[in-house]
Amino acid sequence: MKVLLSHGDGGRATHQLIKEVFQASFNDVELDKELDAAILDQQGGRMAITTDTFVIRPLFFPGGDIGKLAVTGTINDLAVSGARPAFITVGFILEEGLELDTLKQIVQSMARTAEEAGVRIVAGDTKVVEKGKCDQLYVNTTGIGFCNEYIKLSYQHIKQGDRVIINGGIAEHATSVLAERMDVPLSSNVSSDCRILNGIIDQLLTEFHTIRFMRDPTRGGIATTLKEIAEHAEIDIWLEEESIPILPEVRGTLELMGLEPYYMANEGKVLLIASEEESERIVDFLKAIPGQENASVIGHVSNGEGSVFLKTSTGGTRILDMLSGEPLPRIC
Amino acid sequence: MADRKLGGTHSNKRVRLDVTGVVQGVGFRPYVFRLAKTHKLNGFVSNCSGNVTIEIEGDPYNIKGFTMDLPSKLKPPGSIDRINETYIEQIGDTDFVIKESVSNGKLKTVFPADLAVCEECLTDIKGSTRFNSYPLTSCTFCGPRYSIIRALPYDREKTSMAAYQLCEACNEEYKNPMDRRFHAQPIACPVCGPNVIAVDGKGNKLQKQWLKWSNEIIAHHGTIAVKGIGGFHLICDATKSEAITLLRKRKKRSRKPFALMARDINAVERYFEINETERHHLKSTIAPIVLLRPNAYAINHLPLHSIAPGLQRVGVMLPYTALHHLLFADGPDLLIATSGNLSGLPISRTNEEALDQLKGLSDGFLLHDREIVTQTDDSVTYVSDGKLRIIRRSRGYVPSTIPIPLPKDLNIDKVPVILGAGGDMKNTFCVVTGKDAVLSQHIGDIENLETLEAFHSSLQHLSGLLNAKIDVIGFDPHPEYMISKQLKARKDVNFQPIYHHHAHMAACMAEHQLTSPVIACILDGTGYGKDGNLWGFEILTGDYIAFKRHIHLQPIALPGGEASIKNPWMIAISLIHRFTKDIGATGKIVSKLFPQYEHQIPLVLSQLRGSSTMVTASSAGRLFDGISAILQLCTESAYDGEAAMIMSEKLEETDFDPTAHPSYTFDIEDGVIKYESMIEGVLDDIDHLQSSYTIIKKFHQTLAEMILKGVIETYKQTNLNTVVFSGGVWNNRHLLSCSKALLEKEGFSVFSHEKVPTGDGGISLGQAVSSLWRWSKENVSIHASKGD
Ligand SMILES: [Fe+3]
Ligand SMILES: [Mg+2]
Ligand SMILES: [Zn+2]
Ligand SMILES: [Zn+2]
Repeated sequence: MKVLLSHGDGGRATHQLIKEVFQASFNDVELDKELDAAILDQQGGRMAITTDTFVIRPLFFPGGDIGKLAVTGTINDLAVSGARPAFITVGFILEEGLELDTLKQIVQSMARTAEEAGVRIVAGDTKVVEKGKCDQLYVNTTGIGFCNEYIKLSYQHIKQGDRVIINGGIAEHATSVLAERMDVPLSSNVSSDCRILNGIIDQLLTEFHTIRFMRDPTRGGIATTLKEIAEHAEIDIWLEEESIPILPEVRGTLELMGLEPYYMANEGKVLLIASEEESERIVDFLKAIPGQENASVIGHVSNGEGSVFLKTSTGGTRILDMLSGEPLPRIC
Repeated sequence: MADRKLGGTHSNKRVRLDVTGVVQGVGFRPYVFRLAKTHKLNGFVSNCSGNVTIEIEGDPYNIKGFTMDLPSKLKPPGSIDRINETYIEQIGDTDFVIKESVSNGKLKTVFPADLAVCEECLTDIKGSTRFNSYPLTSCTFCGPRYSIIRALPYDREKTSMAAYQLCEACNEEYKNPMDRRFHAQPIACPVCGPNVIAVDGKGNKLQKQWLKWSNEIIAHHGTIAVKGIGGFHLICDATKSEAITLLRKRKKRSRKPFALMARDINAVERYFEINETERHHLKSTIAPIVLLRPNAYAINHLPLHSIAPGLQRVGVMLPYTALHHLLFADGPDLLIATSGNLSGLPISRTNEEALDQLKGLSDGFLLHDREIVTQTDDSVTYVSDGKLRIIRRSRGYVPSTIPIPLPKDLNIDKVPVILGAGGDMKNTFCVVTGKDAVLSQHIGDIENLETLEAFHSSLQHLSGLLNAKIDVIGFDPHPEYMISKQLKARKDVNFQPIYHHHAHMAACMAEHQLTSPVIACILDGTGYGKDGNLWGFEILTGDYIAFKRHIHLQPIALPGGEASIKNPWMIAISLIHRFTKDIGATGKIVSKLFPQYEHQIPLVLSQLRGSSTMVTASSAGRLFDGISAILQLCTESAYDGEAAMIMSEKLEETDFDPTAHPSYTFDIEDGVIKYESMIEGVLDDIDHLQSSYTIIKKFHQTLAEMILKGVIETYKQTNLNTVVFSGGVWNNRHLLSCSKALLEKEGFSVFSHEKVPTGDGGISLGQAVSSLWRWSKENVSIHASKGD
């Protein structure tokens, strides 16, 4: 069965869709009430809100799908801000003609991910547009979380000598999505790193007290994220090429496409900036967690004016700037 | 005492001679002093802002003798361009003196290039004077110059020799006008000068007989880092493949050729075929690396596959310091002498840098405390068509000036100081003051912070020496060029964007002093074009101010952008796809051609299918890459230009007749050179088991014919018949001589590079001259020719 325009007209078909697809999967009392807004109890601490819209093609890729990604992305944005994610809302735009089974799969994937993260999906919306007005399915998620008063992450806390840590291999999400999109087979050990991080981050923040700042290096990759950090914090960041974890196949595939792993999206990675003293213990702690075995210190912070440098394996220093459009070769 | 009122039988005269040429730092003033004494003339000689002024007074007959001898008895590297002679009033000098340098901040100052050690100094180190075995000896005719100068005028206090107080013996010679070391700024001896310091691979100073110690390391296949004039060499035995293999492994340099240093010219002749021109340049005071062809003996006795894998010519130079000569005393005939740096980084300058950078690469260091102020790599040259061609213009050439053509109406005193910034690859920059251009030493590929810093500090140093505040900057508008990006942040400067291929064209025009519009055949690897795409096989017309693109190669898709440039097999797929126009058909051909890339091919095909946007390049360099890969000669490029070089070097100079070989077919439609049928022809020849030698010859012939046809078509539109060749592809001597022959047969006059590199190392000259002409068009009303 396919999605019809009538699924979005607010009538019987719409109600049926909500009941059978969304309520059945998300299974939350707030949704079941079918009110205009979810009314939630107040929780302690300051509140964090984030929103994100997902338009990724293809809808399914090795290691995930658009639904998992939409929930993960929002949860991780809250988590790296130092908040405990609590609630999520979802908004769909569906293209007329989308297979209902496809939609169900995606919705179930969202439900699973939210459950795993201990997050409730408390409100939602669906619109159906005419065929050709959108590409299959878009989804927006908004997340709400709460911060413990004692956790204060800020650019201002970053100091000379601090270490930059990542919890595993880079560019895996972008590479598997690209390969899928270009219909190029990759070996089974390359898949999207799409993964919720709130549990891990919660443990890290409980265990360690010199984590200055965190970001998830999604769109733009670690280079863009670190460049933003360096500029805001008015410091320089020095990365060591040889200590940045990256799967050889990821590197090889990107190379042939003329893409740089440092600029490629990750969906289950966090960049931590922490004191030199705690950095090795943080890495050891991460490595003990399944899936985080490749965690590593990848660089350090020095006084500066907002640059990101990469010490290459041949001994040179590269400047990692923001990516400027299609890179035009210089070499001859 | 002469009685000036009465005079002699012939009444005495006084003449002032203003001399320009290579006349500073080359013992010119002592030479003039001795000549004046010989001819019994009084007066003085002085350095004045780059020129030398001589005033002589005495018997007119003697004056005549002096002025005749002055140019003819001068020894190289000194040379005179022009002598201006004026008779002036007598003063009645009673002696001939050398006046101290007069520095005049306003006028230009030239300063000398580094010179190879001279014969007399070599005799000294073998003899019984205090210079015996002294590795750092020099005199007015030889030794470091540019590399040790901190400021001008060129006097000892302003060089890195200032740290060494002359001993009594040295001081005597320094002050004695009749001595070879009179005013030789770098003069030193074992008593007062710097000495060689031996340091082991771990950085410990050794109190050993350094020569014996280093020879032992070399004999055991080890590598020594040796401080030379403009930097460090990594040196090992070139006759032992084990030694070279070890060095390659340590330097992470898989195939890029190593240069050799030969004991002497006899050793060169034992292993290489060498003509008079090559001999002349090898032995010159510049002492560049010259590419030479190994002879039959070398093919049997040298590990050529380790020295220069896949290439038919090897870079060879002669020892250019006393230290180098001493190393050969007990060493092999040939040493590898490759620049002491980590790949991609500037050559080490200080002892500390060398110890830090090279410690994993060498088993020992021969250092000394004479500081290198400016790094200069060895220059690289070859001879073709009887002319020296410069691939890398650095030590020995820099900072010699290149005279440039000026717009007619431009007042020479009003010429602004102009910087040609160069490109990001093989960078040199160029500073123009007045009617001369000074090209910097080779800075290298700006691919890291270290080379970028080397660019900025060299620019600061050179413009400081020239006392030049930059008014105008000519730069390459390539959006990713780091140098362009950084310079554009400067304030109070006039910027002139000069497109890459226009700069190539202007460089060739400038070195030949051409001022009328030309047809330019610019063939290279990669340059940013007016339309935002990459160019590299262009037939342009224009002058210094503007250019027009008439003919160009059909753009080649570059899957993966830079990945294609490093992987010629990807270009091969792109070319084949251009011919088949079908992914399936391409896939069939290339999976047979490149079974080794079975797993990567789908990724390339997918990009060609259009599932991602792709960079294109109308580049001759890429065409060479692709054909080289199709022929299985080079599918992955270990260094810039490898695929093209490996292929064209398969040809013999002698059997390359420009008119005799059949070529492949091609079309020129609406100014676009279509090469599909050539690819078809190549694949067909492969199917019919034609030898790659035949295919390579036909390919070169085809390219030459594309150029010929393109030029004729351009001529029909413009009536221009002067043609300049520029761009790195013209380092291909077969293509050069073939295309030149074809064009000259049709009556075109053809110019190619002789003074600056045809590759990107030459574009800074073009940028600077172009900027100068544009600036004067904007600021002085001159008649410029039209362009688009
Ligand atoms: Fe070029
Ligand atoms: Mg986000
Ligand atoms: Zn000498
Ligand atoms: Zn002395």
